[in-house]
Amino acid sequence: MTLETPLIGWHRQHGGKLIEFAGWSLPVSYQAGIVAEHLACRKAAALFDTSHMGRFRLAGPGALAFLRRTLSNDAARLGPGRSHYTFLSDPEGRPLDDAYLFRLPEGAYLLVVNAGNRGQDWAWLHGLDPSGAGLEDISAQMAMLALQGPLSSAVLGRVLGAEGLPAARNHCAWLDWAGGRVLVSRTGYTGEPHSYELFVEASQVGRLWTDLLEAGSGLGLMPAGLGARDTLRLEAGLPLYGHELRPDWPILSLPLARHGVALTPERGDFLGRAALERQAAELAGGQVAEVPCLIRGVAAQERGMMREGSPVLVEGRQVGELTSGTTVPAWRFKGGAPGDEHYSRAIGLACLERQVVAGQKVEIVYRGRALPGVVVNRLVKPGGNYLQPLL
Amino acid sequence: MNFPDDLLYSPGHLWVRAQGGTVTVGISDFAQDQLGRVVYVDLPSVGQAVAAGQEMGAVESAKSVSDLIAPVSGRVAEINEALADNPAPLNDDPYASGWLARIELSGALPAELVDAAAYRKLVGA
Repeated sequence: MTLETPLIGWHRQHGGKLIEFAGWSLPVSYQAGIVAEHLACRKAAALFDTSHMGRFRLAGPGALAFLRRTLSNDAARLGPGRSHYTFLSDPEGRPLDDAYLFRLPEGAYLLVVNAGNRGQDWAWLHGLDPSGAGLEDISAQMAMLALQGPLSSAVLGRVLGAEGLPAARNHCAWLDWAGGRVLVSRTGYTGEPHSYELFVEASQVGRLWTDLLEAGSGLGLMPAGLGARDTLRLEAGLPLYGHELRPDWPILSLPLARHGVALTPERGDFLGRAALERQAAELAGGQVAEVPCLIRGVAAQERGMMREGSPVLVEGRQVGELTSGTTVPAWRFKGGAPGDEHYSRAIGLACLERQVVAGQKVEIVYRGRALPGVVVNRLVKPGGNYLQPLL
Repeated sequence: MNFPDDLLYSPGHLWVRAQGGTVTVGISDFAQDQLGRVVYVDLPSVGQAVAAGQEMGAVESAKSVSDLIAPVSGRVAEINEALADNPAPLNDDPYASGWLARIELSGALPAELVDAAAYRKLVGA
């Protein structure tokens, strides 16, 4: 028995190719296909049903204290209407999950976790004495969408009005909409400079979804599935739990994780702190012990293919392997904006020995062939309103 | 699903359009549907010898890879270079702009190739 979001009927009626993901029945793509959906997000906008994500609300008087001792980032840093990246760390500094913590404008907290880890996270948090934190699972009552891409602000403005849209990354605000309200957050999983996540009562999400699609129909907005969500996050260098983050790897193996870990003296102890401090000290000091590898970007320099598990070689010696990899489409840019032509390129994220840094020429082995590539810090760069492919 | 009557079909789900001593090959509508969205295609090189029933390349979809099994024996005369930049025609137009290669036959067409009616039965369409 697979779980279904409130939009399942729409997905079925509009050519969604349904697959099972983390126990949920969701579209991997619609009729346009992954490539067109990916390209739409980079040039115009794409709309995703992300209601499968887990949503926990914490509104009790003890919520802040509970979050400060159980999450790797410091919830005390969040003012109302702000959010940040964080981890559920085990005592050894390994990730149970990566998550986003929102402090709602009225003060309550919202923790958004991966669909596949929701049950485990819930049990874990309950094992850490959440009494007084007012912890509840609101995944079913509150639906979630992601509207991402350079024209997402324009689309959203047509539906919710341009007034009051959060203007800076990680800001969020409630906006009135047709008698109800929508939490609009300037966050996302595509790397887009213009990107929003929307939270709305489950009973209203069908109307919000169709209103957004209608508002964006003349602007190039497309509904997009899990396939494009994965290629977009990979191109943006963002981790996927189970790939770049693994339950037996140190959290700080992922360089981006430093944005979700606060080791400041004033916050006191939290779960995993000692282990995370050891990892941070090792990375700062240069010795190799608990964190022998780091996640890096890899871009092919010729046409070819790479996939998760492909060995990465430097002068014939294996220095790591891909944690994610595929071929993604990219627009050819003209004068700082995407043109009309696109091409495809093979990219990946890899767990590589720490001495292998950006600029290193490598070979990626796939199906008996060694594809020439290069290690990079980023696979895309922000170019004003757009994310521009590098290489 | 669409299986044009003027084509022959191989057990590896490629179609063959015979034009004298050279044939054009591609993947069938059934194959593209099974694969899902193709993200990369690994084609043989021009001049390469291929043998019926042997691997001559691969098609990569978002989550899986499938070998391309040569439907005929011969020498690759031409490949569809445009697919390298944009493999979308493999899904959207498999019998025309999604063609894979043109192959100069080294002998007769293999007996395993079947007509559209027999292929429809094979794939249960």
